Amino acid sequence: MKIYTTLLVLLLTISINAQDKYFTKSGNVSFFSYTLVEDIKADNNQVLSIIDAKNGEIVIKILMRSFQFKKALMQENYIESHKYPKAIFKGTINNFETLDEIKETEIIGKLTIRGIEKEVIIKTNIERQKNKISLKGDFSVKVSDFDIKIPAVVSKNISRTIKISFDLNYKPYKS
Amino acid sequence: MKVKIIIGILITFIIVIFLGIKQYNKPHIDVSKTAANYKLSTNELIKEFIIDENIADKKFANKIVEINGTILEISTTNGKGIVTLAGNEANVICQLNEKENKKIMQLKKDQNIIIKGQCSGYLMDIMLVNCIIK
Repeated sequence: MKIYTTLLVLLLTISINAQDKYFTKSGNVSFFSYTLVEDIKADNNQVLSIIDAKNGEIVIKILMRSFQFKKALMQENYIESHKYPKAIFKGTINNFETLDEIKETEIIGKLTIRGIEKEVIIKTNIERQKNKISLKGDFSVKVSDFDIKIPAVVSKNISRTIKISFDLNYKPYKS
Repeated sequence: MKVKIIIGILITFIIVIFLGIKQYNKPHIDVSKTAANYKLSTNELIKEFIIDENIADKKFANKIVEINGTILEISTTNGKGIVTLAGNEANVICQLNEKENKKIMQLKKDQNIIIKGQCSGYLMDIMLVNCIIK
């Protein structure tokens, strides 16, 4: 009898854990380019992301065209969104199991922009509550890492390193 | 004679610079004043993306789409109104243009609505940006 109870409890915990996914469809990712000539900023509020609370795996998907610039010209398009409509990040949140309340951690993973994959380490603030996870932070990428070609005419207006900031608020995923 | 040529060159130069700056600063498409490239229902749009995402992406990307559908959810993120239209296999998430934010107060769940916006593609749902409510 005892064995059955233990088994039942075990099974229950496993099935509960299996549903332990958190997601957002309206995450915010922005990027900034600062130069002496011009500051450029673009916002994307339609970021999709899922965290698997079992192991801290995280997937982030971004539609390039959802970035909103101040100037229309910048919308089109050194990033070639017709060929590469999405940017994808896949990684793991370090020490995910031991995190509760506000802490800092790192996410290690692969960022794919324009079909080019790069390993990145992202420092993030993480807040984990029962029905909520939020990630907030920023990191920088080099334009040259993703083979983004900037026309000579505007080369002074666009920085060689782009700052990317993110603010993602997850809720439990109901399937 | 020489003076005239110099003035001519100068004027051309100024015009070129002026046009260049104007081009660089040109405004975004005004969705409300631009005719829709496609008019269809929420489910018709979703179906095209589910059948073949690549083809649908090429067809609808950055195009102005006018869709009619039923409101599933109304919310705001970062000061931007978001209206989600219900579909069978996915939804359509419409991020409103800032000028439209006031209208969000009058909207209700399950209400039928026509929304016009720029299609930016498909993740789990179809995304529209720069939307206006008709």
